[in-house]
Amino acid sequence: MTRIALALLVVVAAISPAEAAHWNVDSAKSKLGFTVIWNKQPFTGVFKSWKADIDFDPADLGHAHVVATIDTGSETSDDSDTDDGIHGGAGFAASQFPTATFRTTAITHKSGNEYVAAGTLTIKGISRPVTLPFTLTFAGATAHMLGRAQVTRTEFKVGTGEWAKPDPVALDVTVNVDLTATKSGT
Amino acid sequence: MTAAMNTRDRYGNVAMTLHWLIALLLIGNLCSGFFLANIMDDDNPWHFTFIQIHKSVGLTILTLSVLRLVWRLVNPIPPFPPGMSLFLRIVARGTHYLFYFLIIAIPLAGWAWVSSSTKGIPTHYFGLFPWPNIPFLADLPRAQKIANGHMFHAFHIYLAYSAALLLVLHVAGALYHQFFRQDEVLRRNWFGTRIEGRT
Repeated sequence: MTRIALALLVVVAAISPAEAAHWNVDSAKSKLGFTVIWNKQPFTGVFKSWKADIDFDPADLGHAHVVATIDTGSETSDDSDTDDGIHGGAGFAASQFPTATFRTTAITHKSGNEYVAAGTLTIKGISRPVTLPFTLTFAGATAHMLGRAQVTRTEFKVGTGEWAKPDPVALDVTVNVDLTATKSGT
Repeated sequence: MTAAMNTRDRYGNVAMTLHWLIALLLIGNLCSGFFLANIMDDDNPWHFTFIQIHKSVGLTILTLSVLRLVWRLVNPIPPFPPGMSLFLRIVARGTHYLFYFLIIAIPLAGWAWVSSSTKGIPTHYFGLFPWPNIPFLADLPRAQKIANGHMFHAFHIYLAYSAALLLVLHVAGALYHQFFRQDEVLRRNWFGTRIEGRT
């Protein structure tokens, strides 16, 4: 009886997918923001509230999976008036769409410490494929990720009406991720 | 037929036209400003157009008020009606001087606020032509513009509320003259009315 149970356990363990390592974001050392040319000058906003659910093992990228959830109303810049507009209906419409998400569909290794995350970005309920190239450096149980993605804001209806034009706010937005995480259970 | 210039007894057509036109525009913009700041949703698709109209009316008030101030300085003004106390004379003159200040300062503060904006939205005067920003303010570094924007915004709002209060006092004064004292103060500021000349 015991031997049968043991044999079953071995079989189950063999067929279940390998669990990729789980990582916890160190929010104090992490930053998610964006830069866009606004009125001929770079404008930078950061999200004060977001989380990322990270399953990642460089040796097993097939099971790597990341879901980032961003509170759109937490966008903050040096100008509170501008932030009000960005949170408003013409911008993120934060009251109607409080979160934006990025879900990876595949993470691939390029070379050295360079990776590319392909995924789906959802803002204002609109989903589009986005690629996020990033670098990854490990220091013990800590990993530091630096990534940068190009997004066309109007594909997500961020900037409607008067703001849909490329002037004064450019359509191309650079999303910057600077993330430090520690391996779960270590 | 009233003359264009003021006489020693009454206001002329130019002064009266400027008075009533600016009054109309000022009341309109006090209402539309209050509506924009407190009632209209920023997400309203008409918000942008509404602000452009508010700005165009304000700049019209500014232009007319500067002309009116010049006109006031080169024209005689009718005297106080007989029997007004020193206190009431001070209140009346004070109200008028404050009004001259406000009808120039409020649109100027609004223009300075817009010129300090970092958003880069141009002002179109009733859709006819672009109205420039105040260059000195528009060329400041971003952090300075944001700080100035908050300051001029506060000026604009508080001066506008002051004008609303002053308007109540001014109208009360006019009604007091018209119905309580029954003198010619309101009539001499209305078109075509006959004022008995004093010798």
